[in-house]
Amino acid sequence: MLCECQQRQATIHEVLIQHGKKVERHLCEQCASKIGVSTDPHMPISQLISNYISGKNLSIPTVSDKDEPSAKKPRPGATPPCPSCSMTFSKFKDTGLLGCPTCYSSFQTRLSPLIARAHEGGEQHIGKVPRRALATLSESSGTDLESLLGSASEREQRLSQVRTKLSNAVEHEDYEQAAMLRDEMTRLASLPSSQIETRVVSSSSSVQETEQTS
Amino acid sequence: MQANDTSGHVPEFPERSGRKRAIPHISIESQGMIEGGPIQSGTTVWLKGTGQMSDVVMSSRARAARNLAGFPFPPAASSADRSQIMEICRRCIESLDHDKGSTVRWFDLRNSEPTDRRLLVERQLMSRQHARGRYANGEGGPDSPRGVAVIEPEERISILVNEEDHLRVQVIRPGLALEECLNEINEFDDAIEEIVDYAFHPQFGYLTACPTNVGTGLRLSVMVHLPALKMTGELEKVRNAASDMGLAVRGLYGEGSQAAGEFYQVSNQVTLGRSDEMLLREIESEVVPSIVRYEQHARAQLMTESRALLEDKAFRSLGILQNARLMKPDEALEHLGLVRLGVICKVIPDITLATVHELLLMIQPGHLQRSVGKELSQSERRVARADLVRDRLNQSKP
Repeated sequence: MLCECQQRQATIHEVLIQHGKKVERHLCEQCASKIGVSTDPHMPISQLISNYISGKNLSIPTVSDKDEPSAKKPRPGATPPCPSCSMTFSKFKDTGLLGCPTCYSSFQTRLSPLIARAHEGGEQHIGKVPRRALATLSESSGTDLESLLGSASEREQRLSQVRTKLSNAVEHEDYEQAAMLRDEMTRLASLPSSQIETRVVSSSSSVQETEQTS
Repeated sequence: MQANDTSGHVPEFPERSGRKRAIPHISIESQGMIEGGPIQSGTTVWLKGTGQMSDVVMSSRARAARNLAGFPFPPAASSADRSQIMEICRRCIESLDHDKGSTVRWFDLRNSEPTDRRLLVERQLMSRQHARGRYANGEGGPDSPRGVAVIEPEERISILVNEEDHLRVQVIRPGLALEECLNEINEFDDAIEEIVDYAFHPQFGYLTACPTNVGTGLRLSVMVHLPALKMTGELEKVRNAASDMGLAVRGLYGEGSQAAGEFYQVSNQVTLGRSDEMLLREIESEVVPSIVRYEQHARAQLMTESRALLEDKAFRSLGILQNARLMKPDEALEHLGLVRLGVICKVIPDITLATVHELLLMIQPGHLQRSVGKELSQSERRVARADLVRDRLNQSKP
């Protein structure tokens, strides 16, 4: 497949979902680096984050980082420091380390896109929850946590059942059944990520909308 | 269940009998935890060379990062905070149940010898960063309050206190055994959670000092040995495929280390948005088995199509190891890697896998110095390393 520049082979394929539409771009390395799409698969996450924070990677929206040349004097309107440990966002940008658990709530707006980027679009925790945290959280904030994680764990349970069936099917060389089970597994596993992709949409403002593919 | 209040003062901990006790007066030994003491000699569990797919998979490791609610993360905490966190975690570890016949040994790294710290790192019971005690933000140092608990004699489980996070629980096993590692981590995690409140956020999951670890806080890694893929020139393909799947590929000794000897660690980067089950399935049932199949295929191909080349490489390396008088660590690793391939492909008959694996541990500076019983300079180590390797490999000849 040729790149948008019609000159070189496209080696970078970017898929974004914007306003409910899937936007695919196929780029060669030169064009990708011009546009600012990361082309280095070996880039360590810490570097990715610091690039992201310092606004080097243009495909990600950054929040007025460029007008903060010195972090020494917090300007009015800048993110206030964490009330619990007085960590500042600019200090976090320097070290990549947060000060305390409360920092996650204090800097949530600015952190969320960074975290999603570092986790390949992952924005919502799926999986184990400390039992007591679950009780406290659903009591105090009335969050929909239980149902959210309940459904995820149900999904996990179903997945593991399907997995067992699949290995049985393979053992008995019932390949037709195995193929069906494999498809079901893929579908189950893809549920949470499709949920996440749609949520990524709102934050990926720098990508222009193109026609809907498939 | 009892100790819900971690905001400020130290909670009470239930004894294993269920009786509650106040914190400051406990003798540690009485709870079956041994303070300090010698680090075990001999080989360690992950180098046993047993387990599933052990021809290619050296070891599997799972690590969970956890933090206590209501305390700053170690890099941002004051020394006094770190001391208090360490005390809570240590008591918590002390009260955990462990297998009959095993002992929990607690190393307070503030008062430890550099040699001991080196041994713990080389046995992969803790990270280099933890040995140094210096955090990524420049805080801390050799005297920073931190420690590690090791469950002996297996050395399968270690719990790091005040590394980048308050608690990092690690389980390591030989061969492909991530599921077992993960189950064991979960047991410990549940038991710790009975005593302390973890920092948790409904969106971000388990909270960690570095946001790259939030979510499950779980890192699953598998160490694989891929010398045949290197020889057939297909290694890059595997590396790229792993990177495309969001997995990191690192050298034998972890982050930042070179992959001498073609030992690689494959691990997940993403911890948020994918459950432990999904991660486990992806790495243990999909990625690693396919890497293993590639390597096995490359080995079979070498055996049938270029047996002379394979034999030549393996025996040249064996020759160097059996005769050299000066040996750098990377050089030793490189040749041990090829000898390992030769042993597994049965072209080198009189060396055992156990010998090769033992040497992988013994050639490292800390173990080398312990085996000769004194501190050595770098050039002295090269001599000692060559002596040790020569000695072991000529010994195991019939």
